[in-house]
Amino acid sequence: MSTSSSSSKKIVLKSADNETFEIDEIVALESQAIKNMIEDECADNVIPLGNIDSKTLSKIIEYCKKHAESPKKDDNADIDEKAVEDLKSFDAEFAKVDMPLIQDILMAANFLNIDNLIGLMCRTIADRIKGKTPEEIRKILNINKNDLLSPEQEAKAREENSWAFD
Amino acid sequence: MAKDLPGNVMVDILSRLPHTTIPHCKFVCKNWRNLINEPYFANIHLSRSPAGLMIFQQSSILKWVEIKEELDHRQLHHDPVNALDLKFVPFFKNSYISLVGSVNGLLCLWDRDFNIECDNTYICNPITRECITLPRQQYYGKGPARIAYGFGVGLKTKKYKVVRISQRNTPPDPPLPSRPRLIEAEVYTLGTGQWRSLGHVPYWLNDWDEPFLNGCVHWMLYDENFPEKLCSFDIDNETFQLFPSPPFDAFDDTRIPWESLALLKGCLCQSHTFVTGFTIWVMKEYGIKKSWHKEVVIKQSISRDLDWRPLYLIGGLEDGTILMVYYLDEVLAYSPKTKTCEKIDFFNQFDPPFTRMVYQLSSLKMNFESERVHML
Repeated sequence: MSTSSSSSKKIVLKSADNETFEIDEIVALESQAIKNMIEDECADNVIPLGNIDSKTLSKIIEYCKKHAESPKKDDNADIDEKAVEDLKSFDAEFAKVDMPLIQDILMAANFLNIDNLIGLMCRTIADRIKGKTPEEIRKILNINKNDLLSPEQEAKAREENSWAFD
Repeated sequence: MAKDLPGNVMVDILSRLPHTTIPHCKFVCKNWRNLINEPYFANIHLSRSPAGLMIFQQSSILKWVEIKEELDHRQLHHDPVNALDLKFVPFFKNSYISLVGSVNGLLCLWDRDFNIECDNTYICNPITRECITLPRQQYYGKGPARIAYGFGVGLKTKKYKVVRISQRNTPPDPPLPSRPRLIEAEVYTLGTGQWRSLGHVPYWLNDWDEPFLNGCVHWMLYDENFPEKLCSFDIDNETFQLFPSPPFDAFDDTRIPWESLALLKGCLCQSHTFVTGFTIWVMKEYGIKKSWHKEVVIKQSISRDLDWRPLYLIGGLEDGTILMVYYLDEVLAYSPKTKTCEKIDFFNQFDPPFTRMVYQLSSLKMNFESERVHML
């Protein structure tokens, strides 16, 4: 199935670094936030996304394109399993990027309200910190050093959870 | 970087972690510790928690097992950290403890020894190691009795309540197990600090199973003279009612009086034992008598050495597998697809005897108003 027929309506997204992306409206509708804008008729020809850079935006468009093309689960109860598998392996490949980009995609997906993508990114981060020590988690996620627990707070928390550290 | 993610997104990530990683996450930063301590987090985490089994062994050791469901196979996962031996917890006075209820990861435990006038009820979350002792109920440790418990949370009020039905005779009545003369219920709402009497209950309840579903606790009846053989207690309204029971032939000559009441994939189900096999009825639509359906018949002949010994239901897995306890010392998995029964070796490491319960792991904090929370 192709969504890039010349007759379909186009939407233009502009990234923080002023790059423009022309996409089919159906792809843009994967974002609940853009969908609301279009429905409320407050979307002009160009939708500026001042907090999303072009690298992140192009990843998001890649995701939305694929998902817009795929048959939706609730449309048809007996969609072929191959399409489901195909989308699954696309998602798995899509998530194979470095942590800063994952977090940027997650922030943007949250802003654009793309439910499936939020879920995919949250799952990916959770999988990467599962079973890790606090120190490893801080490193993986580059946690702000100013937000660490004080030695007293850490001792108290350790006491409350002593069973987990035996 | 991660601290820039909005709180709701951060909670979304953390709620997907296994409960064993959660305590470590509290140390990562202040922001995470605060998020995890919010009741909002516990609720989301609970809704994402995998189903599990709580095994209660030799009246003192709690062990919980996570059930991980893969596409085409199931995996039961037991982590050694997921165990708690109450014998070594000074908080508990003695170790005649029974597991009498479970909801949202909280357990209701009953510690009873009439020789030393001990008859205590506890609510405990083995994940957070929090435990509270309920105050003394009116019928505290007075002579032999069959005590039926129920533990659940109201659909509307969201209140957690323990209901306790004291079934006893008063001397010089004949000793139990004849029908007790006195059947009185008391209820305790967590956060209130006191038991309230609900008065006489017209039904003689089976004190073995007490599954909680849909805001109600359910029991089988010992009484034979009622039109239904089950009873429910509505946690919100605090009323006992006859509950539609499966339309099975109670007078079948081959029936052996071992029955169990449990939950299978969110439906109430009841098992019956016969000389020739074992049947499971499932209530497809909650509360609708006509929806009882004889789902499974396990013929004695399918398994190597299943005989007339008691078989009790534990619960079901997503793939349709049904877990059962056989004679209190074996766990069997029955697959309706292949109609075969296999022993789960995984459980061999648990010395018999044990009781069991479907259980959901939860990091629910016990923030109730009037009870003091102890750490185990």
